[in-house]
Amino acid sequence: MTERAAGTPRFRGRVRRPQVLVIGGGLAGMTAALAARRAGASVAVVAEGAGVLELASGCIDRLAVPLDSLPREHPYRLLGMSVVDEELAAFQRVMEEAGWPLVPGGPVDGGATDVGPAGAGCVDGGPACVITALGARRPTYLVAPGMAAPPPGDPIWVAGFRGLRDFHPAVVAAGLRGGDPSAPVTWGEIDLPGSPEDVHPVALARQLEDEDYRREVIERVRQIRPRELGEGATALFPAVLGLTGARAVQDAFAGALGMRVSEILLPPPSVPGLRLAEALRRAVHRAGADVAIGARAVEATVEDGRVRRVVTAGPGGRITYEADAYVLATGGLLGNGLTTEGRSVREPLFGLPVTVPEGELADARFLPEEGHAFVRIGVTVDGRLRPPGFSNLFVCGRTLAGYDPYAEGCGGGVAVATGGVAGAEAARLVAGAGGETR
Amino acid sequence: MLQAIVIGGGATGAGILRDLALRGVKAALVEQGDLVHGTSSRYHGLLHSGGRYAVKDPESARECAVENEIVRRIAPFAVEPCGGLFVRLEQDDPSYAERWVAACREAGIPVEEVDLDRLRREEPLLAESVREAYAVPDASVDGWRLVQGNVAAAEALGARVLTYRKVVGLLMDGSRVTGVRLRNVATGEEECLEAELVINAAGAWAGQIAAMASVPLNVVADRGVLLVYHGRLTSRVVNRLRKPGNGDIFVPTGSVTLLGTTATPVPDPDDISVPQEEVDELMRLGAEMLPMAATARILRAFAGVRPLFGSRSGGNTREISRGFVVIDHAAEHGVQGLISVAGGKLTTYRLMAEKVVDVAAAHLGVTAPCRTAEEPILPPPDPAAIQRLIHLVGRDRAQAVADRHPASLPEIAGAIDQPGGRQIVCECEQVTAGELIGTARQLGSPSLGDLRRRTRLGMGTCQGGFCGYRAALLLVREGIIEAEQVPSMLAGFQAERWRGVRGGLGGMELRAAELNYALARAQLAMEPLPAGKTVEMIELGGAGND
Amino acid sequence: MINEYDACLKCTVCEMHCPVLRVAPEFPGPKNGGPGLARLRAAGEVAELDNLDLCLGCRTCDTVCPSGIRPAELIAVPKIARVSRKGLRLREWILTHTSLVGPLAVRMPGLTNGVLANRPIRWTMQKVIGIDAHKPMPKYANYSFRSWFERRPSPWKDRPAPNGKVVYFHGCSVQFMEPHIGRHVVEVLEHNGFEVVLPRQKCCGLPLIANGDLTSAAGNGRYNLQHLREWAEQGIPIVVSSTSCSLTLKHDYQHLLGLDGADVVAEHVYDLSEFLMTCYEQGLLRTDFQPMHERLPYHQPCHQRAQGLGLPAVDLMNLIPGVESWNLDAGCCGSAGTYGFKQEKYEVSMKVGEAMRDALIAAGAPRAVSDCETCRWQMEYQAGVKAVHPITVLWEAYGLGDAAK
Repeated sequence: MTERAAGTPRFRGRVRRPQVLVIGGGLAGMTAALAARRAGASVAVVAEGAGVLELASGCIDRLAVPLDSLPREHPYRLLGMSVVDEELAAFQRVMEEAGWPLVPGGPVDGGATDVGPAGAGCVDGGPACVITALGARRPTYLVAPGMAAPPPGDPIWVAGFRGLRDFHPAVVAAGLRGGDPSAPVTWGEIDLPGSPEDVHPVALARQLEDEDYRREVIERVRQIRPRELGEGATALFPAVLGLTGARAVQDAFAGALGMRVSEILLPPPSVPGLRLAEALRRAVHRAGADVAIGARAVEATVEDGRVRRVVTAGPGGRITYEADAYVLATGGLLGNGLTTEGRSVREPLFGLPVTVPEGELADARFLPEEGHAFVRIGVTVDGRLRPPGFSNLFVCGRTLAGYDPYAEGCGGGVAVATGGVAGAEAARLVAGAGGETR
Repeated sequence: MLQAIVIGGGATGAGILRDLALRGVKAALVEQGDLVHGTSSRYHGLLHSGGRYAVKDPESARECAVENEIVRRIAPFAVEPCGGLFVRLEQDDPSYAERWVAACREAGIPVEEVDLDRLRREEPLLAESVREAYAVPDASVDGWRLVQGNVAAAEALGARVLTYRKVVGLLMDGSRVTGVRLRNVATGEEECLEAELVINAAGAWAGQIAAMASVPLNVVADRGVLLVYHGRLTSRVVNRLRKPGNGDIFVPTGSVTLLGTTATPVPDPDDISVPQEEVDELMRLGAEMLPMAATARILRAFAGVRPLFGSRSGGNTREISRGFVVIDHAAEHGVQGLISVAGGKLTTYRLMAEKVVDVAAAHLGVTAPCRTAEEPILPPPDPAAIQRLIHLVGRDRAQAVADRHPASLPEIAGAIDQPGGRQIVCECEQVTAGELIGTARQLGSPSLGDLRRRTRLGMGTCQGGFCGYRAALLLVREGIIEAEQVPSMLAGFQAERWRGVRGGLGGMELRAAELNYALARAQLAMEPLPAGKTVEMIELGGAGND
Repeated sequence: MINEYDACLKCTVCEMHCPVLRVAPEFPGPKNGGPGLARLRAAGEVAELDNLDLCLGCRTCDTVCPSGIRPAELIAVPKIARVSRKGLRLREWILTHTSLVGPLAVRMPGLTNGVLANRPIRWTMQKVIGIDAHKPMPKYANYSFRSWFERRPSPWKDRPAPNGKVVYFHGCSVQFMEPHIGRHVVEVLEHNGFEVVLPRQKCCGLPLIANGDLTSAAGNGRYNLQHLREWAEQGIPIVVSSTSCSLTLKHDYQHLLGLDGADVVAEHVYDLSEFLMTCYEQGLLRTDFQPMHERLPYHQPCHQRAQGLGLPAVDLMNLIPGVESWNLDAGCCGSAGTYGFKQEKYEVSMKVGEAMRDALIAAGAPRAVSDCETCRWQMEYQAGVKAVHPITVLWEAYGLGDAAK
């Protein structure tokens, strides 16, 4: 509501005026907010809910397939890999400052998950890996604290907590062995205090942050720790070793066991994604951006290619944002930034044209190497991430067309790179328009 | 020495096996996949009142009316007596409606006109353009439970059932059929089984079986597509009151709603592909009756192949009678030891079985009368087991569990009563660990699909994205499978679930599809199916009617 | 209706954030208890799950769902159905009608507070009707807020307020228990050039909604809307100092109770901190604060977080020179209104609030801030840290306390 309230001469109602409005609070949106703040603009972030970031691995992927296999429309091609790597490095710095270091291959400071020089990681010196609940090695790039997989061939002991849902150390061990019965992989299980039957991973993670409870659990684990494993071995635990205080919990386990400790990614509800989402949110707060969750952007006013205002609606009411530049980071189909109407896919806020790849929406195989067409649906943009016909709108993350983050192993990288660029472009627009940055 | 071998583990075959067993015949059933692999699990699940045949095929209609009442009585565990409606839309011919009402009455089908205000209250999602509505005793029947119940009853009387055994040849002694040659689909091993009489109840494959004895049997494979909607859109079966055609029926079954169907003759009875045009056509037609069908979430789409018996092929397959025939090949073609049954529909399975077994009994010199119309298939659920279940999972869920496991309730209740037995594995359908373990122990070496077909694992909102993995872990914990088997079991389970999800993809389900794909790829790093393996080879089973 | 659960992906994001699931595994959780159960209920398969009532009503699940589902509303369906069939139980009736006791209690607060603090009486209450004996009842004041407001002379008798009128919806706790907060609200608003109007009003009805009695809540709602409507129609802002009241007026009246005219009023309802911060952004807020040099840890009430406003209270307090205020970000306090007073829920309530308690103690500040009264009472009870409303901090910073002396 921007008209003057009749009975109140000067109060304009729920109208806010950040310089940059970021629509969407996922990885791309938050990175855009950080970038815009770094460049000195005032930033507000609005988001409908939490979401895809929590569900993911808590690590940032870069690229798991050859670069030249990517099509022309791929966001990496739009930006160029040197820009992508710059943004990833910037993101790494921000998270380090926020107390949640994400490092290629794991930390090199001799911490609990030191696996040697950065990049020594996973398979033949390739990118870092995390271990999944099937015992598979899944490549990634920036690894969350305590999640780096030990190099193949290192002795591994998989430790489980009986009653923890969706985890069985035998299955992880079998996967890690990869059919080789002589592989140095063993496993064990303890009962948690109280022998609970059905433990929620987030509940257990929270409990392990309590010193007394943790001491008890560590003692039980120590009892069954195989004697013959030395410092060069790694103990793999399900990823429940704490929430925000995960590093301290991981270190406590590592110290008591005298082994490296690393975590195994679980199916949702999974803790590492939650940790990253919360760390990111703290970083954005620290940077001084305003974050409102629970407010879906429902209306946009555009005049001559300039976005004038965006209205969010939620239980708190309708709030009008009049910003100078806007970043659209609402996600793709999964994040609900692209919606379906009957059988067609739309971008509902600005009505941006949505590019749908030719041919069948989905491959007959569930996990085709080339990925699925429907995952690549999105909005097409120019090299500065602007959709056609708009001068102050930038699009980033899963809303963009042209990539399959799961098949290509590039989800985090695209979000961080396009988010960073979108945020910087938005701030540059603000500065260029003569708006003083604050 | 076996007296009879029944080929085909669908409704007809299972019904025949039970009837044989009740009449004291020593019999075995062989089935190429899991039970209910074929059409009986891949149709709309309607227990016909007969209304759909009243005008065009009054004899079928009459049969349906009678058998509907019988099936409800003998198989209450498999029937949801939701009732049915026929609704005429504004654009449908009112004179057809008149003829229909008269024809129903003629055929003995109870028909009652429903006042439109009451209709709007009870079925609020139906289109505004409904002009007339009639209630009939349609019901929704669960093909799996029906077949599993018949099989359990037959096994209790000494019959044998061999699944995952494909008939690759008939044993012949001159012009006499003496048995079957089977190939174990999982191991590739072949074995022979001999009997006095072979009964060909192979449904859409019946023609292929008959050809093994060089006998002609013209079974037309007619493929129909069905959509599975995520929620329950109607409380009753809703038919369109016009000449039977495509996309004219909604059948609620449990927590989902089926919309069907189409009719396309196909040369191959294994062709269960789902053409996009037929999906679109179904949505368009369905939306005429129920507008939300255009936008509501579609979980899956699947196809089933109807086995139609007709002496002419091609043309409009709806014109071929859905009545059935029993062919005594000795009389017809001079080939002894082989009887075939073709055509028909699930609602009249018991009648078909009766007619077949009458012919078989005559050959075998068995004089015991048929009792399948009177005898309930299974005894009522053990009250002690029910009480135990109520105590364990509450009254609501106790009924659901009892319906799912009518033949083995005490064992299932016992398994749920073990430590951890009450843990919910499939949250969408509230399937407990005890149900899965109890079922798995009865099967020996089950795939996740075998468990799904018996417990509804993975048939709800998440389509197995979360619960497939959890179920596999449970089987490892119970020592039913090895840890090393988990990746390939999961790959097969997910591939089969994907087949159905992909068929109906578009609309709201795209998000769920992306989530399951993301979890499999990025969170679990699940392996794809090994190259060269098909879903069938790993999953071994049907995927429909869920 | 089909749409309420159709979009749910079972993604578990709601479960990850649910404060009850973290401490009470017997709770089905927002995913299973909300859209999961709604779907099975529509199919006639399952009517209710055990322990659904452990839901705090914090609406965190509603806030974080990426699919637009409202699990908290769906979880409440069986409870609402039960209450509409059988009515409220005695204990729930007592806990939700404290505003009836109010007018009497403020006349004899000593007696009332004495009775409610008396241990044997509390143990009896626990045994007989299940109100937990541990948690102290909030104390009644010896005057009502309205009586104070109506007695004082208006500062705008001789000239119109430069910024016009605002309506103040005070809520039960200000009216009967903490009228001084109401005074702070009025004086800060007046200091900033607003004329405060106090229409007739009664309990917003949230305790009734939370306990499933939508019919009675609707009665309260209609009364409040009737008296607020004329002001809303003039575009006059309605500021609300209690965050549960503001959520109820903004959202529940429209979407849970479906009351006529609720949308018109909701458009003009503001959380107090939201309103003042918006005023600041529009250049309407005086910043003549005296420096305060204080660390002020802040606990955001769940019902304010559910409104998607950001952190206006923290931003406001940080305008005061020398103040360092930050959001503890430690989850729900666990009190959840009437919930924490119920015997079978007391343990869960305390466990839920442990993270906040620990964060509060670790903050090591002499006092803390929160806009919700039950949060403040829980902070004092669990962590032993005094808690004030953000408006009190502003009132102090403006030196309005000194003016009174």
